[in-house]
Amino acid sequence: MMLSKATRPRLSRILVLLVLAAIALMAVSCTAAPSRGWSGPLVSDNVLYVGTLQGKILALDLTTALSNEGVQLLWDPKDVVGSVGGGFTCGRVSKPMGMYGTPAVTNGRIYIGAYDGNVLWVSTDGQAVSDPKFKTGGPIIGSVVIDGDTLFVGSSDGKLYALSLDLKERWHFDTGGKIWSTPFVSSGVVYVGSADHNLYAIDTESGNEIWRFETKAAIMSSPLVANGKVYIGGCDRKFYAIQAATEDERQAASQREQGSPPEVSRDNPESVFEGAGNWFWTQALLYDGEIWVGNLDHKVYVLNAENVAEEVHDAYPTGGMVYAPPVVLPLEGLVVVGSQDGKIYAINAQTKDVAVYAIDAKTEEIVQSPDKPKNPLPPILAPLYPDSENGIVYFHAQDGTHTLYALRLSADSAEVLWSFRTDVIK
Amino acid sequence: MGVLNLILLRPILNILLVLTHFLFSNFGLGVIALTIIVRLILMPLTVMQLRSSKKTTETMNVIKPKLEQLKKKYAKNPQKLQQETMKVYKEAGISPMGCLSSPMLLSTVIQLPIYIALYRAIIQGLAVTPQDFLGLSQNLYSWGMVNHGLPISGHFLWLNLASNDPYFVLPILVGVTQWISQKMMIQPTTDPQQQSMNSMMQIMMPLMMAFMTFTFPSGLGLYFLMTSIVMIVTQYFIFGWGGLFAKAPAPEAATKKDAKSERVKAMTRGGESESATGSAKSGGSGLGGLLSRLKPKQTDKKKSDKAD
Repeated sequence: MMLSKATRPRLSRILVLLVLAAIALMAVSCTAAPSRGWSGPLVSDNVLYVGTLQGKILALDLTTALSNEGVQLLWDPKDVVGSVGGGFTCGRVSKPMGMYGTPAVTNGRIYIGAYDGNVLWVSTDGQAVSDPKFKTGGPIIGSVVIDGDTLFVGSSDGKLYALSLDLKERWHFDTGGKIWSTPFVSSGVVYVGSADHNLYAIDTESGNEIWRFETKAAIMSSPLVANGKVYIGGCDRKFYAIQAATEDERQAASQREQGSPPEVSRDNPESVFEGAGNWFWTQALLYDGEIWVGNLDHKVYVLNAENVAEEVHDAYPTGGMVYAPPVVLPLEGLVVVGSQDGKIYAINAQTKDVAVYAIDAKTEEIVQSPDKPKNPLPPILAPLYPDSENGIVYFHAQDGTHTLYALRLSADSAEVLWSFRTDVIK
Repeated sequence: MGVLNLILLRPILNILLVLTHFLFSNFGLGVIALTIIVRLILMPLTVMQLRSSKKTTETMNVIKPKLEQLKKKYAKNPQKLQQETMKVYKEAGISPMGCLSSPMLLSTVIQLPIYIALYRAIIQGLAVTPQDFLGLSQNLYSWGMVNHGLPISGHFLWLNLASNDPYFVLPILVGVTQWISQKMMIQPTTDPQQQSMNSMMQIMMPLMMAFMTFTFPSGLGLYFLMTSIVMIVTQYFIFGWGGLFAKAPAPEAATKKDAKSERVKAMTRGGESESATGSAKSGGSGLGGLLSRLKPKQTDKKKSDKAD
């Protein structure tokens, strides 16, 4: 079509406007929030292992760090995760991370489940990587767990997998809902929560279901088994104590034909706590007869382990979601909690006094008035790793930047020993 | 932003999840139902906006020759040109601000935050990444039915609502429905400039929406599709098929437009002011009133065509 001289400028203006509108719309829709995840650190033989935003496995030498020579990479980071679809993130709130789970180390291998659905290992000397990897049918969000010579991992495809340490499948159990929960193994039984609203108890040998316990919403948190009870919270805002599977029940399940329904059911919990304001997403801590559990309502609850319906102490408020499980430094008598507000809460388990530590992200000094730090740390959602012997807590703060911190805690003070950026590897 | 979240995003998000719960835990059906409900609630504003837009376009077509004459006449006196132009606008009963005129601006200002909140609610509900799902917890009410269906199942027909359509069906549907909606909206014109611009809009907008649908999660594409379909139905009930089946007037007509427009202007000058005041006087509100006000206009237009 021939255009007049008068038409061309108007058309070009419209075109420019349309292009600008498109760019503005795409910019608004395609600007995802920074990736935040919960890939926590693990320490084994004075080496700290952690998964990163980009899907690398890092090994940091802690011997130099503890002798004030600074923290150093033990070997070149291994890039082990494929594409996680983070390039084009239009219409999403945030970009996915390469890894969410915490690694597990055994027999000279670091095992990890990745967001691309693969389970893999890297040798602890950084020289070898599993080939092939074990592919599950969906992203892996929880951590892998190793019990003896079996690795357990849940996947978003709804299945709990039991693998040999050479990553060969022994069995899988289909729950029908996404599994983001980290399994817990105790006395030949693996417990796992599922988005299909159920907590499952499964025989580790046969993969047969022993029983299931149904709640009113998805279970994304990880179970804790102690004192013959399974402690777990759900997205129905309740925290349960359920009788664990007995040896008789486990044996009966192991001898049952595969696919036949379980004969045992857990219809009622032993006790229930219903006072929380949001989902339970974190594993609980049992310490000195008390259950410590965080909630997405920004609080940490302290419950009686014998009867979780009973609160031992008023809940501790924090400035954000409590996603990371509480950990304990027994020598100091401290229960340590990380929060989405980027602060560390050190609670004296006896006196129940709390000390709040905010770290300045620029100076890496402990801020004197922690209420309003000038440069707060990114959210702490990943599990903390407690080094009980040295009174150190390692944690991974993740948002726009991803940084590992080593924080030494005592009854009344805290000190940042070192930090290490994991999103920008030098 | 916090206030908008509290009064718009959170209620819309929670209603979306409740609808999903009652619609067989199917998020796709929830998105369709909520889009239709929100569009129905905002229908009076949409109708006002469409009516105002159509009226402005029609009137602009009529007064354009007069404005061209004024430009020539007062080429050396910009102040006088402005005064006379404003006078013509005032007589025609339209605002020189076009889409920024008060009824359109008002309806846009009211509707836009709601549509943005609806869009954001769908993104949040989809919770594509694990941390999105974690963040979702902060915007939910404690209602059991809201939490019961989470995380949502992303499967709807052939689509995974959390990722884009691998078969390109949804982007094509969005593009086609956008094109139909645009075509219905655009008034036939003899002005070659306007024709070129209309053609450009008819192509660019559907292409842009189709591209966005291709890049976005399908849940949002479904929202775009439903929005277009509701818009087409709304336009049909208000204006009929509009410009969808109308052929563009022959370009030659443009050469005669000055003389023709003069006659149209002469005929419609009284009619425009009559219709402008008439729209305030008669018909009442709602679709019925709107249709009753539009019908005489269409008759007048036919008459003027016959006269030509």
